[in-house]
Amino acid sequence: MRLNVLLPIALAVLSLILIFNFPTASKFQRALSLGAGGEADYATKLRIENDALRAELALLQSIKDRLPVANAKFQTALVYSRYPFNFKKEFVINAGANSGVAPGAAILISGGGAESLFVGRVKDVYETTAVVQTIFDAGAQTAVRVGNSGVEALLKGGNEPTVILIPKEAVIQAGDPVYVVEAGAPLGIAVGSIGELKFSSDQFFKEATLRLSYDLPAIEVVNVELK
Amino acid sequence: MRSKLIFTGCLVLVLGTALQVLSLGWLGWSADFVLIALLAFGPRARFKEFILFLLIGAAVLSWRPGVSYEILLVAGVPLFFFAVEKIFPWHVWINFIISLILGTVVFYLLLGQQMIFLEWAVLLKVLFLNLLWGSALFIFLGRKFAPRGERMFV
Repeated sequence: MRLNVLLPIALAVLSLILIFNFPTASKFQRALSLGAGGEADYATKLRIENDALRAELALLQSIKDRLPVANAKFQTALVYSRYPFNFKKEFVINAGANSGVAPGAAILISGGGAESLFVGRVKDVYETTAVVQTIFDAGAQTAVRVGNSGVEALLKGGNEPTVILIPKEAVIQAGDPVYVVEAGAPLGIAVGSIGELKFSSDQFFKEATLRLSYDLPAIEVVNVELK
Repeated sequence: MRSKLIFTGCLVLVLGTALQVLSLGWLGWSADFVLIALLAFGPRARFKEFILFLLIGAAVLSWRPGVSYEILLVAGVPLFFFAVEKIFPWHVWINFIISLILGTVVFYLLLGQQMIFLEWAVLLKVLFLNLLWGSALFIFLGRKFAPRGERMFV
């Protein structure tokens, strides 16, 4: 047979195999994204550890009399592939229903020690994989507290996540830790720290950028909460 | 089917995927390199060749188990304009520019209408880069694969 006939048939078969066996295609995308992010360096790990410790200290000071029971179980998972279009910031991990992952499970990254940062939640679960919606996704929203006084606020996702609905009278400043207080998530897990503070456009609240010590493309390994 | 066109298509789609994934990692946003490449192949490919390009495009962008809604859009929008372009009364160059702009808008309308209003500044940048990438591809493919006697511009 001629090349004109064989080549299209071979490519069509290969395409169908790739579509229905997505990890193969994902490896290609993953190889590309590795080049974009690179691995977190030592300084990044220290900053993550620092943010996490500050959040932990703030939490303990705000709820001294009822410390949370740390009974959540986690499993390490690898980032398989990432959402390849604009606006959504999601990725797929290699842990799914078979491993005990459920929708809504918290996804954390570790700086190498026991401290972790919250980066998102499981959105969809498959047999051996799960889709994670990160805090960089425009549709993500998480209840948080800020600083030692535990000021309640809302973390709004986006390319640059922001902390919104901070009461106008709240006394917080740049560098204060931000931690998750949402039902179903491990209490007091750090997200980052307060960056630039300003009043909201309607002047009823304050809002702030979220200072983070990592880049999303650099995340290759995560800890997923098991239900 | 034409081997040279298919080979070129594979290269462009793989290059487009690489550019899309890398710029999403570096900039946080990206032009729709694969979607626009598929639209650009519309005027130059025959139906069977075009279906093959759609399959390859869907395969290289496939990022989660099964066939996602976004992948269906990446294949569906160019397929729609492949059919509609034939009935546009204008020159192939103008048809393509109209398809490119409408294709981008329709893609994001179907992807999430609220994003168009929330992230309109990003969308404008995306549209501008789509136009640049699409025009470059259109000229390149026109020189290589346009029928004899066709004038590339009006």
